[in-house]
Amino acid sequence: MRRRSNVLIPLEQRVLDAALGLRRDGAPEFHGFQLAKELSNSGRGRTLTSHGTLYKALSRLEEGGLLSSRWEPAHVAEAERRPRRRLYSITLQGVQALEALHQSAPSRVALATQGASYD
Amino acid sequence: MTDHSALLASLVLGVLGVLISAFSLDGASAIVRLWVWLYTLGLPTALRDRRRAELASDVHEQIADARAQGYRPGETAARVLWRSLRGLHADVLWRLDHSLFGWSRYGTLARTELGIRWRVATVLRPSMRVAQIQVEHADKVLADARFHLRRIPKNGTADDLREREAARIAVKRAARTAKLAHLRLRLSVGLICCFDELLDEIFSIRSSGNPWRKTPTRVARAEARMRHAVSQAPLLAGPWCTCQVRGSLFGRTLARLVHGLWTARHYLRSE
Repeated sequence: MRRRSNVLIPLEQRVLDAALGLRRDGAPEFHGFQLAKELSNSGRGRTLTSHGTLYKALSRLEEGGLLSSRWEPAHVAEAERRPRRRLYSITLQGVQALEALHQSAPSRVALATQGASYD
Repeated sequence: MTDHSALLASLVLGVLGVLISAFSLDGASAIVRLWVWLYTLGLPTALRDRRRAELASDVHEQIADARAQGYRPGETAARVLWRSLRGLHADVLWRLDHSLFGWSRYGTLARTELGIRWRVATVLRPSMRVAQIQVEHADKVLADARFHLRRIPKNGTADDLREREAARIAVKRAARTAKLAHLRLRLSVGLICCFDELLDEIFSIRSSGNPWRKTPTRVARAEARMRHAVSQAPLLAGPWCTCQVRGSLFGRTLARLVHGLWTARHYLRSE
């Protein structure tokens, strides 16, 4: 059965929370692995979110306009001798959606952000 | 995660660690990349390349992070594989979402693109065949006329000279007809190439998101295409070169059109 397009699953809420947290910490843009680490650190377990689950959630959030992304400039990656990173950032729409969610169901969101495993 | 699943995860990690230590990090990385390569096969180019590049970067970051934390290579390789393994179902679901017969916009786009291509091919195929038959016929008439002209002695009787003059005129007419037939075929192929390129461009833009967003990659790609097209079509150089087409759909389409015409010309010359 397909999910409704306007409903965020707990992992997506956690992703938005983590994105907002990173932005508050001075990292407005983040890449996939950085987010996986952030989610792992904020959760109870130390397991990194799997590739498939993480990037599926990211692409869904991006399609919904809650996140935006861009490739980092090639010269930065070349200087550090690593593959280019896809940099994500939370949009204003994403911030508003998260705020609305926190206001509407604080207990549920709190539960979701306290580190339940969605791997 | 419960204690049982944590224990199971540790066990699997241990076993995988032993197995993978033989392969080392490169092996694990290659396995993940192979899996990504497999499940992204057949996707629109932009979507496929993005997923592959993103996962390559993620695996690289994970390995670098594990190195920084002092994990052994075998253990890191196992972690990379375990992480990929846990997301297999999500990968498969994501792939189904984007499959040709799926419900996503990519699936719809692919179906639309296929539909358009099929209809256009159906319409154009008979006309292309007619153009091809005309070319073959005109070439044959020309060859026959030349053969006939060669058979008439140059210094013969007055009748021979008259016949030779008539044959020369026939060769000239046949050559003109053949030239026109070739031109028609060339134009048809050119139009088809342009259409094909244009369709490719439109669908690659649509499947990669906002077509009007001028990302550096798109600008660079458009400029490279334009440079390539202009460098290959010297007749069209000059004022066209100075066109500022940075990242616009118009520019890309123009580059594609020029390139399509050039490809058609090259193709027909090599035939």
